[in-house]
Amino acid sequence: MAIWVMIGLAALASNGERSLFGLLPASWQLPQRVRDALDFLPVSAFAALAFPGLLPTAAPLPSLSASKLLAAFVAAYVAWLSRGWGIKGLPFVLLVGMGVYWLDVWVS
Amino acid sequence: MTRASSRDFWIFWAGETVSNLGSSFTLFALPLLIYQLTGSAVNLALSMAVTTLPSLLFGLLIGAWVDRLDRKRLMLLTNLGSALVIGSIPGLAAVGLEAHQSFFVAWLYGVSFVSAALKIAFDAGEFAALPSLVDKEKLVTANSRLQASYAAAQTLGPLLAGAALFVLPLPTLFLVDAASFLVSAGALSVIRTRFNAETRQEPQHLLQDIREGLSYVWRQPVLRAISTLALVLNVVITTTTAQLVLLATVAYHTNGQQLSLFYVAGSLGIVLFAPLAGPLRRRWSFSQVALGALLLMGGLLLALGLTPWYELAVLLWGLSQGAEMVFNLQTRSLRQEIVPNAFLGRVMSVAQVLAYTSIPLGAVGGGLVIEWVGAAQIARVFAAIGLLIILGALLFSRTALGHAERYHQEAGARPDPRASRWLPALQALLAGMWATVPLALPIIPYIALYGVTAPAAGLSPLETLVFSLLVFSGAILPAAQALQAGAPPLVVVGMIAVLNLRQMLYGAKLAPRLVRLRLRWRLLVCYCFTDESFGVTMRRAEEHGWDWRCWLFLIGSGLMMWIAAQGATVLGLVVGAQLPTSLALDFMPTLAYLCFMVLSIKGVASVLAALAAGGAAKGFMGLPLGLGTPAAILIGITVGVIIQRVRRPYALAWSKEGKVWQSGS
Repeated sequence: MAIWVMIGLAALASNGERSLFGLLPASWQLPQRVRDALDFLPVSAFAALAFPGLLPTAAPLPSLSASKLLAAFVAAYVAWLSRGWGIKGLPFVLLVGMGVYWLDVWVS
Repeated sequence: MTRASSRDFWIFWAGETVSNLGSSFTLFALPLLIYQLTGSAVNLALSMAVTTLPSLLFGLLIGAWVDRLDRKRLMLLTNLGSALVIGSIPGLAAVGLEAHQSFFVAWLYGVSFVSAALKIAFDAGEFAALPSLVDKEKLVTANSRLQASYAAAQTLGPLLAGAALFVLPLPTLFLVDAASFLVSAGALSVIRTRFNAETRQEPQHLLQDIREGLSYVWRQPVLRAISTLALVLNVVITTTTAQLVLLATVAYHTNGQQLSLFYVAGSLGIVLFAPLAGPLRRRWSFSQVALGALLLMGGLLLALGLTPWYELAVLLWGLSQGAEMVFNLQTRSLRQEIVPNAFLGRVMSVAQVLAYTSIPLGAVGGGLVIEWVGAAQIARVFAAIGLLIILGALLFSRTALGHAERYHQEAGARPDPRASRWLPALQALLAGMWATVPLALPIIPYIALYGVTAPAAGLSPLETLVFSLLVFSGAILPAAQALQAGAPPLVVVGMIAVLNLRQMLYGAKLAPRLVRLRLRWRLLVCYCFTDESFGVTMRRAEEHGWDWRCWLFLIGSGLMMWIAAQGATVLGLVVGAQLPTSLALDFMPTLAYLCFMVLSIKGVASVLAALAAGGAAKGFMGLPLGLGTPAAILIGITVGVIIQRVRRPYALAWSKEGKVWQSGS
């Protein structure tokens, strides 16, 4: 029973948070300053999600971290170069990044 | 449909229904008779093989004949011929030739061969006749009626034939089929509508006709796409029907009765789904219904391959067969709609030849693959086939099949009033799914780990699935790990709430546009918020500007993530901890986030915001409940705003001097 209550509450919390701004009345608007600030949301959110994966706090295998860093640099550079391709360039970036990572792990 | 053609269609349908029921008697009785006579599995296989030979040998030739002859007369004659050929079996048995076993078995092979050849001619004629019997917009409904009666006959026929064996000798059953062909011939004879359009030019060589037909199929983009897709699908799907027994036996340990339920469910799925094809087509465009049915079928087979429960497997199999029927009906009807009358027979014969070539290849290929991976892996093979079908549907949505209405209208069919609105919607949805494929694949090992961890933390398989379904977030893995480590449930809820805070920020970012949607759409969109979906959608919005398609793109993206997440949960539950980790696929989402970050950078302020958020996230990694990520995001946003404000006066001063200045963001 406790598990089902937990599942229900977790679902409520998760979907409640997601839907919070969607459930507001149409007339309601975020203040302009907040909307301007949220322009920085994508870049901040993706940086916050990406960086911890690149720089593990306690790396038991330094070479592994170095491989990831190298792959990340190359992928970021390729992403920047191929930004004109838009979303279609993403698989290519992922392929290059993973390729560099696998290659470096294999070489080292 | 005019009154006369409506009457003619129903006469045609009635004749076909009776004929199909009769043919199912032969389908039941012929292998049984051969087995009774020879007791040999090889002879049984041969009797099946000879039915595929005529199509390979004469399929294209017969198609060309169907286009140059009077189709109604040809169909009538093939019915009479079939009645004669099938009727010869009880005839020979009655005069005692059944005792001459070798001769009689050879005769049976001959009957199989000739009746299969006649059937090709009849089927090509039927395909070509239907557009003359009904209006173009009613083709799907007409086809679905024919297919539903065919499926019902295939289910009922063997049962009736089996029951008839209690009172009749086996060879007599063929009389039922012979009589049914006579009924069909009678029905054709009273139909007034002509099956040929008056467009025939001067006669040319038959080979020239065949070349013309092949060239037409190849040059017509939709036909080319349908033929290629049919070829690929036949190769892939055949394994599911051919290996259903193995799946049922190995994965669900079924007995004979339980196995038969799979077949009953399959037939029921066809009978129940076929009538839906017409209404679905009236509501949505061809591309939406056909590709949607294919996606559904792929998803159902994927789920079938992953489910450990027999009852659910039976249900999924039945639904997948129904979805396949909807797809087949759409493609069949579209061909009838867009192909000129003079080519219909040849187009049908090309489809048949492709089917008869690819089905045996698929059956053998699938068998070899299963032998290679081991019969114990049969469920995974089904799941892989489901995945292939989904990918195939996504891939072919980018061909002419994705915008088939264009050709449909060029062919003079009634324009689909909804196509103009729904087609771009479907395309946006599929584009979202397609764009998310590379992001969805890497999460599979991550979420599968949840499927392993949650049961270890004390959750039942049902609870594990429902938890994943309702929360639909990567937060479920740390939550399950916390549960396993003994954390109280309320702490786990708090952890999920904190980890998903960024999704609230996504909602906030989109709020000005979100509030304009209807409530049900808002809720659906919000449910689809994931890091990946948000990332690809923002990127699309930057490329093409924000319009209503972005919402569907986001929903498509969320749907792909959802399929991957739920599939991975089931995979984790079923496969356990055997998932490979050596490829480090978990690194791929990190690269994707990095890519999104790079693409979101527009100036100095956003670079510094990214560095601040990334550095803070790294520094806050030890914070409880995953608080580090939302805190880091807020820090990044704050830094970005501050830098922008600091830089703005300089920007203004610079611009007053008449210089060009690129602002921070």
